[in-house]
Amino acid sequence: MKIIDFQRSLTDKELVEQIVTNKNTALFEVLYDRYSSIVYNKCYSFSKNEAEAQDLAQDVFIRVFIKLGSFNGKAEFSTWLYALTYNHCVNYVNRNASKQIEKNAIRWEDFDQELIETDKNSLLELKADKLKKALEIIAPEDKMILLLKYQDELSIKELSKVLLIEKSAVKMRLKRARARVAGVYAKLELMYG
Amino acid sequence: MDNPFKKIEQPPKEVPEELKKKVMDDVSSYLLFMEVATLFSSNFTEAVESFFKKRDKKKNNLNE
Repeated sequence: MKIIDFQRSLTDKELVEQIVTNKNTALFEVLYDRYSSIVYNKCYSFSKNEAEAQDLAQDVFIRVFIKLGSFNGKAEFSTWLYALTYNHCVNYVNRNASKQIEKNAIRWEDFDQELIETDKNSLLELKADKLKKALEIIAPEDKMILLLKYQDELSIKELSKVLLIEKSAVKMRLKRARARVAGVYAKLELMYG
Repeated sequence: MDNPFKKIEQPPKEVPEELKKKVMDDVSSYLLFMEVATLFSSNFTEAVESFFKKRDKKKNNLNE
């Protein structure tokens, strides 16, 4: 087996262990190749253009390299990576909140903050295009937990581990986030049909 | 039922080719920085310690 094939056959956890132990940058490249598309697209969903998304993804990957030693293997590496990516993006969006005002973007605060209690099934019946718009409007923290749960399909237990909060708090945050996105979605339907 | 959360990022954007080089350059810079930092933290401390040990020995020799 060629070295490259061998490296590619390693699991995420095996790669991480070897990168941490040997500071092997070639192995980090394997990890990059495996996840660059997912990380870049997640960053893109929190940014307004490709240049911003690229800067965010670059920052995420160097943070991943620096923090690999703190990955304890209790959760899947992908779960850990997605949480780190979202956290970085949420911080970025919050730091640039003033920039959004300059751009006259529609923000959550501009809405009447109507909450519509929504269960998972009703949420999954929403139309993708309006849901995407609604996710851009709600608070980035709410968007993060909804994407982790319904796009990346993390369990409540996994969410509790990566967000470092109790399972009951995860459920509460999810319930609030669902209600908020449904509220904005309903407003968008009223506004644009 | 189709999950709309899975559809919102479709089709996925292509990753810019230059991103990999930028990331790997960052990683190399970080490793270099850490090597230099280690030199100044642990090795420098060791060097200082051994210098003072040698100086104490000389002092003791002169006092004898």
